[in-house]
Amino acid sequence: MHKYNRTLYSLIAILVVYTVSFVIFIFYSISNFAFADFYKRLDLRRKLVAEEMLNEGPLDKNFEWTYEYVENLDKQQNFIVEFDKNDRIIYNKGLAPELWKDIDKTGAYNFKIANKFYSTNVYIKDSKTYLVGVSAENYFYEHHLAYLRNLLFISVVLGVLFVVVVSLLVKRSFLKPINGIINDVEKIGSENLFLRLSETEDKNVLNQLSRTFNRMLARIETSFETQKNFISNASHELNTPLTSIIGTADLALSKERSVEEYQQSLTKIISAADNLEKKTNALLLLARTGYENNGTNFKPVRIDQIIMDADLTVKAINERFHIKTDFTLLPEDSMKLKVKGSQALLQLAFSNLISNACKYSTNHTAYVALGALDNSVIVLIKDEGIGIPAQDIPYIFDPYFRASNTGNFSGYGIGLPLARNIIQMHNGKIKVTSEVGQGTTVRIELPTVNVL
Amino acid sequence: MVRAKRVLIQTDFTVNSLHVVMDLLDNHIDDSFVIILAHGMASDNSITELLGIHAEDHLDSLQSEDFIKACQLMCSKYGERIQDLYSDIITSENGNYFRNYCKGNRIDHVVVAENVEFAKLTARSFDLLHVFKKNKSKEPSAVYLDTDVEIKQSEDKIDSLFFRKKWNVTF
Repeated sequence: MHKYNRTLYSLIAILVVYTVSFVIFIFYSISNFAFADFYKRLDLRRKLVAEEMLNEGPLDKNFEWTYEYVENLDKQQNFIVEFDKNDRIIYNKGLAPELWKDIDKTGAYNFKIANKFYSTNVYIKDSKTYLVGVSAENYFYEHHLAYLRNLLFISVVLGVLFVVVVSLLVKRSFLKPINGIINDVEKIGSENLFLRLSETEDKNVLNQLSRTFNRMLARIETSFETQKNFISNASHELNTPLTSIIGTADLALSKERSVEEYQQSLTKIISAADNLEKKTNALLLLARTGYENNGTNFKPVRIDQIIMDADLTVKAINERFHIKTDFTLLPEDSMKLKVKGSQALLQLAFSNLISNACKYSTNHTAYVALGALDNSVIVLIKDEGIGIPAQDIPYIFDPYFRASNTGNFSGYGIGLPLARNIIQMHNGKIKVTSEVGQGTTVRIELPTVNVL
Repeated sequence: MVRAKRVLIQTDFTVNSLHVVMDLLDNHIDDSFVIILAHGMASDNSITELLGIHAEDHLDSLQSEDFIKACQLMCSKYGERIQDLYSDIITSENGNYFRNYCKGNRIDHVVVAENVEFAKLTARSFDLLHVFKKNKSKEPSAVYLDTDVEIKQSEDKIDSLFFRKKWNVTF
């Protein structure tokens, strides 16, 4: 942050130095121009004065300057001095005597004393030497330039203020989303790993940062949740068949029984042990997928194959479940169905979603459809089940959350967050729409191989 | 290779309107098509519209993300049978304009979907098929389709293209 501030202040300093230099340059150029231009105008008037003098006899007592040719300058005064070879004044009209020693008596000469500008030149007529000159005050220099100086000074002050304020506002607007991300990230801890940073559809860097963070969080959450829940899930899931085994064995051993009764008990025990084995395998799969989520082992896999495998898995878990698959919109080119991902994880996600669809429907039927877009595949999993109440939809991806109308169905609220994390790990999108009593539709979009 | 037929299908840029495209392709399985999804929207004749607003600008605002995805889905599904599929805006109800548009775009057929009622998408939208029927000439000819109305009542999302009446059940 300090480095960022230093860069910003350097930038402000550069802008301020540039503005001030620019203003000084403008002021200097205009002053220079005002001097040069005024001397030119003074020279012109001096030439006219000389013309008049040479034609009309300067020493005539009745001689009067006429000003009919050009506009008179501010406080303009003309003067004529006749002098000898030793620069002694013979005749003076209009020149202050104290200036005489400072004037160049050999040719044209311009000078300035206080606010007054002078233009003089030496003329020879009838073997007499005259110095003719004009003096005037530069109104523009006196008044306009002062006004310009004040104007530029105010402009510089306002400009610098503007640069500073805008820079600070820009800095704040740049830092605001970053601070937002920092605050959001600080809120996320091990107890609320399901929280995500807000994302938009923009492709700006900060949004990409949020997206990357979210993907990382999805990976961490899946890993964390599967590990955290493994023990509790395992103990809970394994407890039921174990209780059944212990109970049946206890009952069988409580007194002497016939061979048929023992056989019956042992059959019950074997059935419970089988159930136990299935659950152990499922839990092992869940645990193993938790570690395989870094994306490095992703390979191109066909999504239609995964869906068919997931369908078989779901049917194997519960024979009452029916899956109706609509492959009518499958693309002609099977390459369009290839997704870069983990077969096991995607199968886990889809089997979770399909078994949910079956579980929450009275007819235990899930409708699955698949199609290909330009750069992604779309999978729809639909049911005609109990639906999800609108107020519950924002929370369905939170771990352990179960919709308010699922009281009659067993479950732990793990499947949907797990499926979402797996989809997000594959840069996919998952969207759930539902209507109570009508059913639920889960729409999944996964990018295909060519764009990954 | 047989030349693809160039057909004009009226659309209101809803996913449901694409059922007509599916019905056309399913009913003519031996043909390939260049499909122009056209929407009638009268120009307001303002100088701003004439100089600054083009069909693409209207299309950008009228086509939803799901509509574009549904078009992609269709192109993937039918592969080479859809040689091209694009949307366009027809800006005048004038019969000559429509005839010239069809001539210029070498339209072979205009698809008339039975059971599909025209609904105005914007205040300036008009029924293209009405213009077509009013100005009947030899070309382009009409192709009549009996479309599935039941499906069209559902929500306008890409989902509505799936699970149509005669879809194959694989399990």
